[in-house]
Amino acid sequence: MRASKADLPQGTLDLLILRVVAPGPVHGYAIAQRIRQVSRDVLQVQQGSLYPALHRLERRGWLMAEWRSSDTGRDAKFYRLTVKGRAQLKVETASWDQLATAITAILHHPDGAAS
Amino acid sequence: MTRLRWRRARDRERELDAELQDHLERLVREHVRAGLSPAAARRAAHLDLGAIEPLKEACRDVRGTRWARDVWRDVRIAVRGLMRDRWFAAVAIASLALGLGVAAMVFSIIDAYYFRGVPGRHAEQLLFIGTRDAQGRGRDTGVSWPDYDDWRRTARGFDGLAAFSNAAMTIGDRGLALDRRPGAYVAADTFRLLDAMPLIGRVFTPDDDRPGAPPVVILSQPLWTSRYLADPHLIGRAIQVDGVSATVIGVMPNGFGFPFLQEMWRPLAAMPSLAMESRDTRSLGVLARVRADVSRADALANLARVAGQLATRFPETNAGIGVRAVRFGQQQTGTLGDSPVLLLPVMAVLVLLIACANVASLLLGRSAGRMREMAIRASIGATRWRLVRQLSIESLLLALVASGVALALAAVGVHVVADAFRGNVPYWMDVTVGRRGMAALVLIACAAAVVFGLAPALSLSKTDASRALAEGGRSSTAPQIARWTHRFVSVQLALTIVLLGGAGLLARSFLAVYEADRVVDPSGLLTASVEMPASRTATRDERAAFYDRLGQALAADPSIAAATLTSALPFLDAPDRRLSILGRPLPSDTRPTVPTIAIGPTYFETLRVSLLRGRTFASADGQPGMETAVVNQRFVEVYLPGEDAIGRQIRLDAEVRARRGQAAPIENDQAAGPWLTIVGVAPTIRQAMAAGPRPVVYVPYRSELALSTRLVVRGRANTRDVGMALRTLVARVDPSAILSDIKPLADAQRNSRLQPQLFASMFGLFGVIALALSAIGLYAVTAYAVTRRTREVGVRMALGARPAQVVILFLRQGLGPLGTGLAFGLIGAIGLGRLLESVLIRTSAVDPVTLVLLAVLLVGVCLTACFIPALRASAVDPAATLRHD
Repeated sequence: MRASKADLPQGTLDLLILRVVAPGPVHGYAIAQRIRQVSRDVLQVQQGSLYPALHRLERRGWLMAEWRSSDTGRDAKFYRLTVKGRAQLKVETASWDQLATAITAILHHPDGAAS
Repeated sequence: MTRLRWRRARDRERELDAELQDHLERLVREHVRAGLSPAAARRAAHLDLGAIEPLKEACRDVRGTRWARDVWRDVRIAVRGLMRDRWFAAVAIASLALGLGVAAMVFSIIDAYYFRGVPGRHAEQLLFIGTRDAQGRGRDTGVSWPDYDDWRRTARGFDGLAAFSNAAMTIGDRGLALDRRPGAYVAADTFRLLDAMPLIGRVFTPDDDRPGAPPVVILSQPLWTSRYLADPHLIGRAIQVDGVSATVIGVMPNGFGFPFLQEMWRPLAAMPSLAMESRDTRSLGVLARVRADVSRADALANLARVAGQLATRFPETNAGIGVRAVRFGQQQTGTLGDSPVLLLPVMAVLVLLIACANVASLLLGRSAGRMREMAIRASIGATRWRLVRQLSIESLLLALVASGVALALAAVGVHVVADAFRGNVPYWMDVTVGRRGMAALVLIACAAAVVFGLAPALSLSKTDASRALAEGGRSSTAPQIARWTHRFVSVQLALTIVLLGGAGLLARSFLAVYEADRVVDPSGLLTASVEMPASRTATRDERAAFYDRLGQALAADPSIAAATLTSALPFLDAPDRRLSILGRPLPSDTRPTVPTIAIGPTYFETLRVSLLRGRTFASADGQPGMETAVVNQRFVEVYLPGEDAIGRQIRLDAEVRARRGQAAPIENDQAAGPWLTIVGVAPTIRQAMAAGPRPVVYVPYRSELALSTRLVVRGRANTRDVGMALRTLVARVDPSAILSDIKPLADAQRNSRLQPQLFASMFGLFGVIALALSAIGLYAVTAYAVTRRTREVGVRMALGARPAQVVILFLRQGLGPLGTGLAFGLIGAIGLGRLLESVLIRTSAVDPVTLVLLAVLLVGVCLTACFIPALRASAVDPAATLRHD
C-alpha cells in the first residue's frame, strides 16, 4: 500500500475530504477507503495526513463530528459537512474545475502554451 | 486556564485516542480479511498508520492545544523532579527566599520611607515650601507670615497655598488633668489641599481662619477616642485649649496626622502673635498643591518671581531669600542620596547576589548530574527547545515558590522594623511590603531563576546525546561547569566577607553605645515633662519657689522612691554652652562647646549612679556665692587630663543654638555666666543621640530656672501607677502646671539607639545570611565534585590512596575559591568600612581585629562545608564504584 500510485497535489486533500463527506456522516477510515476506491486506487491518502486534515477542517467549522455506533459495534467518530463546509466545497470545487479546465486546455492545445 | 478548559482538553485527548484506535482496528480487520494472521495483520496495520505519537502530535498541533498541554506536562515533570531532589529544592528555595526576602524587606522600607510618598490624589503635586537664605551659608528656613500672605495673594499656578506651624497644645476640660499634645496651627485650605475629610463634624472654613473668629479646634481620632471615649456629642462642645475655650468642630479619621503625627489642629489665625510676626521671622511651613494643568516647574518659577519682587520691595529682610520646594513629606524624610541608609539596599543586593550565585551553583551541579537524563531525552526526540523549556520551567517553579516564602519573610521583617520605628515616622507613611515591591520581587525572582537556570539549560541542551550516553553522564562539559561554580563561590565568599566586615564594624559600634549605656539602668525609671504656667513665672523667685515646692512634693510622696528635676534626660540631646576654663585663655570663637544640664540635688541618686569624686549638689548650690558644677569623667579626660578637677573653675557662656533645635529652652539671664567651681566628677552618662562619650557639665537647677523641666522618677516597689501618682502630685503643687510626656526612661534610650541598632541588626542579619548561603554554596559545589568524581576516587583508592588523601584532595579543591574570595573580600570590607565611617561610633573604619576574626570564621565555616562531602568521598567503596557502570 505504501507504493503510492499518485501523490495528492498540494492542498487537494481538503477538497477530497469535503467531497467524500458531503453525502452523509462518515468516519475517518471510510473516508480514506472511499477516496481510494472512487479514484480506482489511483489516489492514495497518506494515513498520517488524514487525521490532522480532519481535525483542521473540524476546527475551521467546515466539518462537524459526532460519536455514534458503527458497523464494528463500537462507537466511531463520524464527520459530516456543516453549512459552512458545504459552501466551501462549492467554492473549492469551482476553483478546482477552473484550474483543471485551464490546465487541460493548455496540455491539449496543439500549439501548447505558445498561442 | 480555567478548569473547564483543562477538562475539555482531556476529553479531546481521549477522543483522539479512540478515533485512532478505531482506525487501527479497521485496518487490522481488513488485513485479516485479506488473509493475514491476526498478529501479522496488526503489524501491517501499524505500518500503514505509521507512528501513533507523531500522528497525535500533528492532530494536537492542528488544535493549537499542544503548547499549553506541553507546558502543563513540563510543570508536572518539574514538580516531580523537584520532589525527587527534595534537598536540592529545599536548599535552592531557601537560598533564593532568604536573598529575596532581605531585598524585598529593605526595598519596601526604603520605598515606604523615601519614595511611596504621601498617598492620595495626585500626591506628587503636593509640595512643601520653605525658603533658603542665599546669604548666611544658604541656611534652609521657613516662611514668614507676611511673605506667605503676599505669596498667597499673588502667586499663580497653585490650587492653593496653606501655611502651618507645629505647636504643642494643652487641653483641659472639666475633671481631667491638663494634657499636652502635639498639634498644629493650619490654614483653612490645608484640608482641601490634602483631600482630607473629617470622620465626623467638619473641617475649617475661611471664616474660622480669621482674626477674631470664635475659637475652634479639630481633634484626631486617637485623641477623641482616648480622652473623650469617642463621644459623638463632643462636636459643638467647648474644651479648653491653651487656656482658651474652643469649640470642637470635627474629628479627623485615624491615620491623619498632618504634618507629622499631630493630634489636634487649630486655625492658623489662632496662632498667638501671628499678626505681629515680622518678615524675617520665618517659622511657618507652607503646603502647596500645584494646579493640575500647570507644571511644577512653571508654578515654582512663578512663585520665585513673586519672592524676587518681595526681595526688591523689602531688601532689608528679604534680600537673598529664595523659594525652596520639595515634594510634601520629603522635608521630613530627606532624600535617600545623602543618607547612610543608602548602604542598606546596596547590601541587600549583595545578599541577593550571593543567593543567586548559590542557586546558580546548585542548578549547575544538578544539571551536571542530569546529563545522562537529558541525553536520553534528546535521543528519543526531544528538541533542544523542549529541553531548555523544561529546565526553565523548573527554575521558574523554584522562583515562584521562593518568592512566596520571600514575601512572607519580608512582611515579617518589615513589620518588626516598622514596629521599632512606631511614633518616629510621619502619619502618611505606610511601612509595609507594597504592591510595587511584591511585583518587583516576583519579577526579580523569575529573572534570576531563568538567567541562572538558563546557563545550565543551554549547556545541557548542547549535549551531544551519543557522547553523553557513552560517557555515562561524565561529559566533558563537567570541568567547565566546575570552573563556573568555583567562580560563583569565590564571588560569594568575597561578598560575604564584605558584609560580615560591615556587620562587624556596626556591631562593635552598637556595642560601644550599649556599653556606654550601662552606666545608667533605665528600668523602673519614669520620665515626664513639667511646664510652669507662663503667668506665674515672672520672676526668678517665683520659678525657684515652684521648683522647690515640686522637689519637696516629690520627696514627700509615699509612692515615689526617688525623683529628680533635670533639664535634659539621659540618652538625649542637651543644649551646648561655650566653655571657658580658668587659667586656660582661648579666643572666644575657638572655645569648645559642652552640653550643659541643670539638675536637682537627687539626680545621680535617682539614676543610681555614684560620683567618681567629690560631691553632688546640695540645696544651697546654685545660690549666689555657691556657684558650683559637676563635670563628667569624659570632661576631665578631655579638658583636664591628669589634673585634679575638683576645685577648678569653669565658665559657661550664652547658650549656643541647641543642636537639632529641640532642647528645652533654658533662660539665661547673663550672657556670660559666673565662674563655677567644680565640686564633683560623675561617670560619663551618654547624652546625645548615639554619639560617643562627650564631656558634660551639670549645674544646679537653681542657677538655671527654666520654664519647664523634665522629671525622672523611680516609684516604690508597691506603686502600681507612678504616672497617676505624678498627675495628682503635680496638680497639688500647681493646678495650672502642665504635665506631659509620661513615659519610661527606657523609651528615650531605645529611641536614641534606633539608628545604630537598625544598622547593626540589618548588617548582622545580612552577614549571617550571607555566611550561611556561602557555606551552603561551597558545600553544594564540593558535594557535586565528590559525586562527579566518585569513580575517580574509586580508582585512586583501588590503587592505594588512603582516605585521608582523598579528604585532602577535595578539601584542596573546595578551598581553592576561598583564597580568591578572601583577598577580594578583605579589600571590599575595607572599602565598605570607609563608607560606613559616618555612622560608626567609637569604632575605627578599618578594624584589623574584626577582619582577622572574620577571616578565621569564614575559613572555619568553609572547611566544615568542604569536609562533610570530602569525608563522604573517602568512605567510597572502590569495588562498588567501579562496578557502578
